[in-house]
Amino acid sequence: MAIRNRIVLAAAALGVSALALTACSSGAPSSNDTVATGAPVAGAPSWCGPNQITLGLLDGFGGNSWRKITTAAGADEVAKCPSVTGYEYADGQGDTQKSIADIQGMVAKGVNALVVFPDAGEAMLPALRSAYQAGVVTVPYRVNPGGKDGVDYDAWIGADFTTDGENWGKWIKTNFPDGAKILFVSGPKGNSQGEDELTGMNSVLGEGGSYEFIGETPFEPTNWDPALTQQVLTSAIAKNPQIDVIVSDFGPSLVGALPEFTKSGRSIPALVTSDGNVLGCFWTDNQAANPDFKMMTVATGNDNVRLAVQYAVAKATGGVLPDTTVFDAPVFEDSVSGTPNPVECKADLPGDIFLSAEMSADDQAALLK
Amino acid sequence: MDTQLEDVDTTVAVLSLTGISKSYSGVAALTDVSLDVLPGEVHALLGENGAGKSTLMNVASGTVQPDDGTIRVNGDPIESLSPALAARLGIAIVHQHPAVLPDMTILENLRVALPPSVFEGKGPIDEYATSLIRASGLTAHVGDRVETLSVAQKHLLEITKALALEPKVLVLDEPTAPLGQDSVDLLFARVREAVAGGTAVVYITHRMAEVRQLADRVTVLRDGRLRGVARVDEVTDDELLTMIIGRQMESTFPPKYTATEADDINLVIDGISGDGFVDVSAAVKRGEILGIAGVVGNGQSELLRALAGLDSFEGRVVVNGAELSSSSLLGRAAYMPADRHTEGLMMSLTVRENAAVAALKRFKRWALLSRDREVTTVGSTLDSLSVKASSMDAVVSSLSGGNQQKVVMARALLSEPSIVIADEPTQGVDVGARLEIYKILRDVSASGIPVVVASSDAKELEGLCDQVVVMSRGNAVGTLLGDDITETRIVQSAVTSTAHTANTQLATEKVVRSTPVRRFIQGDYAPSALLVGVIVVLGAFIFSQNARYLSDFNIFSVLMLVSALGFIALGQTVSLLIGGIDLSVGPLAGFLVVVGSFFVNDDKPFGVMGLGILLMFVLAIATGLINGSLIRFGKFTAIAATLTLYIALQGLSFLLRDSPGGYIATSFTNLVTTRVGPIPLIFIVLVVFTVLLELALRKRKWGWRLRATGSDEEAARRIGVNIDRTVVFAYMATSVLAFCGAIVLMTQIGVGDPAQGVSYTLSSITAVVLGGTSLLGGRGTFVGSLFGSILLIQVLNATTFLGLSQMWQYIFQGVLILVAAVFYSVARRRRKVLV
Repeated sequence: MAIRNRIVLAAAALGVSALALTACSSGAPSSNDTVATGAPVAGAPSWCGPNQITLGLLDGFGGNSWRKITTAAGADEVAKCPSVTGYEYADGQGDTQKSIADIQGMVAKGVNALVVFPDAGEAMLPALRSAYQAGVVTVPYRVNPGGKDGVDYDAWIGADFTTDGENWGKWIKTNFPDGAKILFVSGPKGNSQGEDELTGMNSVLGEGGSYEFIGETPFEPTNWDPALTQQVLTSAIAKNPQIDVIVSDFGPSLVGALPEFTKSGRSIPALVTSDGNVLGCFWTDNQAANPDFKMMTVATGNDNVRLAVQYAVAKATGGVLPDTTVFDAPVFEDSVSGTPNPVECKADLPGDIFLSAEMSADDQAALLK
Repeated sequence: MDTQLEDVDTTVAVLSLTGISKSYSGVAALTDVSLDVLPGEVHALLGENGAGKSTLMNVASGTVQPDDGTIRVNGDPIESLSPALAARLGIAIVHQHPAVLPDMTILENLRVALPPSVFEGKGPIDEYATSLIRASGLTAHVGDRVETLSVAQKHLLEITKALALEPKVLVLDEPTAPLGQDSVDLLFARVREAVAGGTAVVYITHRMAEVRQLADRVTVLRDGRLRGVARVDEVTDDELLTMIIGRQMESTFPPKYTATEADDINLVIDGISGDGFVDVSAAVKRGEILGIAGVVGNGQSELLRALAGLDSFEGRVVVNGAELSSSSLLGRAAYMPADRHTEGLMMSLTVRENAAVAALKRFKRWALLSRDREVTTVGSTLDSLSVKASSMDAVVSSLSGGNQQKVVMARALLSEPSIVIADEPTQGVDVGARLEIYKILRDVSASGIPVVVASSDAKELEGLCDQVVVMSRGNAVGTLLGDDITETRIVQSAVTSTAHTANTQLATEKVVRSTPVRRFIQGDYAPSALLVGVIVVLGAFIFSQNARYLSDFNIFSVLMLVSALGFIALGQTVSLLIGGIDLSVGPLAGFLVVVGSFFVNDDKPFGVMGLGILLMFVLAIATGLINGSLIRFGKFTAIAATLTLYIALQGLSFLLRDSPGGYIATSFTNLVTTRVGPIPLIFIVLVVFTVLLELALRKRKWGWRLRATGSDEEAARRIGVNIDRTVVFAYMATSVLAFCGAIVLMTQIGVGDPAQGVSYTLSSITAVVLGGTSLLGGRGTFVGSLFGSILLIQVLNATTFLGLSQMWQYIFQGVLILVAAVFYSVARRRRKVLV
């Protein structure tokens, strides 16, 4: 019995020491005050202030090529500022708990600024708030986590999807002045991006006029999934003898579905969407055979992260804050007017690069290898 | 006479069965059987397999209700005897298959099976339990896990449990079958001791030697009828034998083969040994059939499986002049198993498919099967065996027992075997079909293919075989040839055998030396110790890289994450302990958060918040109730039931909120995130929960019942655990703990988001398995699950802290689980169960 008790005691002691390591404080400071040097950084952009910082870039889900390019764009932007002496990246792998752990780990580790893609949306708000309250410059971008600038985080650098919608609406109005039947497809049911885009389009096209949205309102949900997109499009083609324009906020996901028109003996209609090399090449290959196939794209928004990084770095290093917290995706291609660009295709490069991004096509291709 | 009859009142039988009859669907198992057991006597119940001994004792212990007859205990007639009533009346039965729980220790087995009164006033429980098992001759430590005991030791434990109750009537069903000589002597001494104390013993056996050694009186049964009662010292062996044998001839047999000098020997079995049998030899000539006789379970089936190449053996087997190894026998032998339904046939396939499956190579045409050739060949074989089926494409389960057996034979013959092995070929076959089966076996043998038949029916072997090897306790105790092959000689060899269990490993009582260290390694807490080690080393390493690892912020945030996972993992532990699993914990936690998000908001009064929390709790209880009920009363598997709830709960979450909404009240969040120094109060609550649950698991009936159910449900039922209640309550406990997790999750995500929570199902299972809880049920610890949760979160934290690439995240977790799986399975490798 005595021996047995000793083992139990030893196990208990080990357990306590384990708890001590994970649970007891060493009193290490979690302060992240930056030291102001006062001198601007020569040769660096104005948003790059003099204070030296470390920055963490966090993804909720980093597993596709768009994300890889976006992440590289973020790192590229960070590299422009020599005041950022340390850079960390973490991928939440689609798991909210890991995303939360990543944020908290970075804060604990002592980064001065966090740029976060909060995929899980509002569920990330408490973690963002705790980072902000711990004194870390916290900049969520792209996905809206709820909450308020200056209360729950420093600033949310969202994309202005209403502007995208307005740009699409203008193009439709120009190219279909007498009205059109429009099929609008977006991501998961109820996502705010699609709703904002519709608001933008409606502000230009006017509700209840000669422009008619066919199919489900406010949009046909596709989860931005190419397979589901194909199903939605196939049934839409069967149901609607006339589709003049397809609007989609994720162009490349359409490529697999568009040949459905050709199969049913119809021309691919006009396409209003976001860019992608695979889409540009598809247009190049198919425009001759499909007389109605006109195309206009807005930039997919890889560079949204750059604005977020600029904001975070400026705030943390004492640089000049960007004059906006909203990323406007510029119009990128127009097959009709050729401005600002004609449709582009780099046939020798992978389909899943984005020519609208600031990073060069070759760099992107190298990244995805 | 070894037993002294003391001065006890022998006039009133302590147990008296009169005119007992019992039939199962028209077949009589017992017909008008009477038995009187007097206080202080050992009463042997002797008979062959199927004589009705066990049925009679099941009547006596209340598990079987007789159709007719009366039961008296101490002279009082009993209207209807239930197992519980029998136990109260002091009737204890030791089954042939011990009702012990392999994952629990000897002490725990005793405590869960015996009423607390047994231990009251007996001093320290450990010491008293030790004295109990020592009295039965069990030399193991009370802290040893029963799984590590040999079969013989398990029997001794079973006997200990029966004796500890100090029963008035003790029924022992073939207790010496797995025991070596030492244990048999000890057992007999113990029985005599009990008898001296006034206990009446009913001793079921088929061995006359034991009857002579131990019993005062003997009752012989045959074919469910009473054949005679005698005082052991007044009856001769021959008289007993005459009572045992003499079954009615039910079938005729084809003529035997008379071998001549010119016939070659085509099967030689030369001293083969394997699991459950030793040193069996035989040689038969072309045309002869070799029979294997013995009472069921004496190594015949194991011998046949070895001959069929299904189990390994040592020694030589020569078929038609060629020595065959185990693996070549597997390809060439046609084996007809005793258990047709589970081993012999694919019940949902057709007659043709069942017959053809072993011979598909013969019907091959290039890469495909020739349907024509298959139909022709199979059809002619089925015809030659006169299989009666509506068509070749009839489902095999629609056939009668005899015709099913013929389909098995058809498959055997179609495979063009080198040797045919038939285990109980006529079991459950009607008389007409029996003769046909005998003829087929004769024809096969005449064609030069050796045939080996095992049967527990000595009459059958007498009629069919040209040579018979009689087995007892794994030894070949006799070989009979020619005219010596009679039922009498076969039964005589079997029942007069005094051979002891052949298997060496069974005979040695102490298999492994039980030391405190070994018991710890094989115990439930070894995984926890390992986890603590890993946690400390990993923690120390990270700390050495970055001192901020132990900052208040990090400790707090890590422990908050641990808290959510930890509660859910504790819940998962409960489900795994009973041998189930709860896949619905993740969606349940998410669902509860969504429900809470409608009530626990900043603008709501405290009353409404409290109501919301209460509603969450009630919904959790309901979920557990549904899970448990589906499993116990709806006969769902645990996976199916909880997967149903998984999907339903997620659906409900999305019905309630199709997008995130309903911010959780700050006051509530502040309450849950209250801290004591850097440690969240909720984490302290989690630790307290863990400790309490652990204590309940080890020291309370609740915990024993959980582990008993998971360890061996059937055994648990036999020792009186209410399985339905235990399982349903276990799933409710799981859901309640998931509710606790949901409370933490609410503050963690701060909003009612229907998409959240799901991932907790998988991570909780991972944490629990890391903690050493078995997916098979019956063993595990709550403490381990807590450490598993801590380690998982620590690894998440480590990748960020060490700045490792994301690939490491996966590698880390994968390696951890792999190491855990390997370590745990090595530490607790289940010893192969013999016989």
